[in-house]
Amino acid sequence: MSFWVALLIYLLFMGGYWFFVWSIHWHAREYIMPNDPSSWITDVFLVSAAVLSIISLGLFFTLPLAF
Amino acid sequence: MVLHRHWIVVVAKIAAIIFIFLFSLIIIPLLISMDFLVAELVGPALFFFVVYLMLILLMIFLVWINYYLDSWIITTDRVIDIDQKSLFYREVSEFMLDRVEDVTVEVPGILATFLHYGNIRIQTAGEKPFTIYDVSHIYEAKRIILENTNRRGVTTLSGTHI
Repeated sequence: MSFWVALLIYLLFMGGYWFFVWSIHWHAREYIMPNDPSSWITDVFLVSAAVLSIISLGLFFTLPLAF
Repeated sequence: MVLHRHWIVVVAKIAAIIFIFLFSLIIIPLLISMDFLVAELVGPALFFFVVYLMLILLMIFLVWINYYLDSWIITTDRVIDIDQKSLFYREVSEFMLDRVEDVTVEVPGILATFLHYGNIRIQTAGEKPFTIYDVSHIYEAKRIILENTNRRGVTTLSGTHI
């Protein structure tokens, strides 16, 4: 039972998190010029957020929670 | 010409976030010394650490995007002020260069002097002065504004271009 509650909380967190990540990405794509030398910073952010999300997902399923 | 705030402004904010993050890491040796971090809790601790890292990363990039999208564009006709107040609050205002009366450049303090940044205050006809804070290339920006203001000439009240 606690697993499903934790999963729901985790998915809500990830939903909120990725909403902000995509918002940042959208702002960068919309307002920063394509030839701007700083556009790589947004790519670094997206990759870092994706890597950390995958790691956290992996760690979530190792949590000692009862079904 | 596109002006952004000087990088020191964003570096100071990001350094503050990283400092808070590093300071909060003190809790880990504290938990180990108090025998709270037993083998069964290492997994959950690691999970919450990664989630915490994700939030710190998000905060850093929110600060960066707000900094980077805050800009001023100086063209031969007008100055466009793009004010990114927060992620979902953007304000764009502009004024024509023919309304410029005088341009003042300020270099406030030691750091600004060494890192070559400052404020540009533009007085426009009949309005409050317009100030651009903490930008680099201030003298070049002032020169471009004044050159284009002079090139456009002065229009009298009757509409005659002098």
